Amino acid sequence: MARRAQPVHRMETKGQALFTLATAVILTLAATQPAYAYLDPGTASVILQVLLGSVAGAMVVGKLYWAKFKDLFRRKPSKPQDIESQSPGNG
Amino acid sequence: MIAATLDPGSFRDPGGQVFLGDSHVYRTVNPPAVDDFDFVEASGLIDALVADGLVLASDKVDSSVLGQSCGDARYVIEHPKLPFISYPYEWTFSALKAAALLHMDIHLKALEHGVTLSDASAFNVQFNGAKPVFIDRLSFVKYRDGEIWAGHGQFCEQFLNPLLLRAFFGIPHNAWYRGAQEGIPTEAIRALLPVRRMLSWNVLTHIVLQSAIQSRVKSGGDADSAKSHELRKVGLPKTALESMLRRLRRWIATLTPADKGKTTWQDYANNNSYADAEAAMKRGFVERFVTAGKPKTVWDLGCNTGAYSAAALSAGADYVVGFDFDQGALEHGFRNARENDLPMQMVYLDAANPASDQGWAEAERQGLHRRASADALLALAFVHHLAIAKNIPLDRVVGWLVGLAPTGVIEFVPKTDPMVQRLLQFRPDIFPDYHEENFLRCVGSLARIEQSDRVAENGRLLISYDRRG
Repeated sequence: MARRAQPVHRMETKGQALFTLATAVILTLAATQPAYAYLDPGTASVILQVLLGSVAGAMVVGKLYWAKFKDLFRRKPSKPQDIESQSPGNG
Repeated sequence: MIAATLDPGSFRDPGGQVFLGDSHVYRTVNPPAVDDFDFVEASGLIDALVADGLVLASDKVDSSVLGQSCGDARYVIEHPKLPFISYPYEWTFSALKAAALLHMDIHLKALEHGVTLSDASAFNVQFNGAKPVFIDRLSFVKYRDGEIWAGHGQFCEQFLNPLLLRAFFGIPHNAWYRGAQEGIPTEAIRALLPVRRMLSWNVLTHIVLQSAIQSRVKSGGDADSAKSHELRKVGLPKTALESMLRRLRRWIATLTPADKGKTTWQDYANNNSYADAEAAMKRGFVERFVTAGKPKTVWDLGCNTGAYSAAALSAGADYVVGFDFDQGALEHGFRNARENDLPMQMVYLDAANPASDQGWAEAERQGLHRRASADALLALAFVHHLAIAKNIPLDRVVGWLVGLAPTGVIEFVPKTDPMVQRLLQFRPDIFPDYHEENFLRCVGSLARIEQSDRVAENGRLLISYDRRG
């Protein structure tokens, strides 16, 4: 039993780290609201989805900035407008 | 007006009720659901899903069809009854997985049409043969930009967690699911997880994190709950929702049972004690019985991989439901039905403990007897599993079987048979009434014995009975 308990415990600290992240996000986003006496069973799922959504959002933003950052070091194509002018439609 | 009764399981959704007629099911659409219903109808989604066979086709009928019983229903839609209603706790792993994938596919398609699913109940999926089909029209509602996936928690409990139980630990979901109709709690799966399982993004998010937040919120009480209310307004971008659904779908598609070795009966068709000639003789008996009586629906108890179910189909039966308690055999039959598109449905059944009336007021989900009936029954090499292995007196076994269908074929396997000998190997023989003469007397007291034939030299006996008229 002791051998099993050890790693599980270690994971819980990782879980706690995630928690801190979750709580931080919640605290940043949440305003003061009237308290609800009973727990909505879907609460955990709501928080999880908003978290995942923000992570996904952050990754998209991160990717954009990363792309811009890389562009700084990339040699620019001689005529960037060509691509646009070739595209049909919008005409 | 049509005589239809309210389905006792239909009470959760104020948007509509389900009424059961003789040949059709009627679904009412009440004022709270009308706007969504109209929006979904105009979106063209349902037509597309029906064309792909993912949703049951239904027709709008005059709402006066149900008379007074439908209350203030704005619309009534009807569709033909499915041959056999089954519940997720009666499905095999592959069936539950197919239902989960169907749910994901439908949700993704719905989002393309600006529609979402209001819940993720596995009871909204039914089977036609091995093909899953979505039955609840009122689950489709207008998608509001940025709204979270309302059914996520339910999807985990009713689809994902039961699949993980088998895929991670080799434990079939059926018994637990039947005991806990809402499905298997995420916290329970979390408690079972070994560390190495947590090293995956999917497990980390849908199980570990969700369960951690859940227990946190539980202990945090009102304040955290209020924050979640606020978070609901923050919402989830549509692209994030779609990518979450796609990711979940990909994950579920890779799940397979973690069983070690073969189950007892999986190889039965190849390894059993009797020869091919005897199997052919049994198949012939079943085919002649079906050809003569022309039963539409046949129940095959102890169906194993469904070899005799298939024989009944080839002899002209419309639909066969095969029941067995062996997961491996059922999987085999399910695959066969799916690959060959057979009207054959495989259902998990422990005949000593059949599905019972349960849920709210003990009426929400129906037991086997009350839910459906068959025109004919097959019980081949089945009786001794109840009479010897489970100590159920022979007359009661026969009484139960004959009560399931007005006609049928029952095989009696005598004590001298090697398969029965195996059952008796480590226990005293406390079954003085288990013999052929008593078997025939029991059947004869309830029905006419129409045909009988010896399967083999060792004395297995096949009889067909008819208790009508």
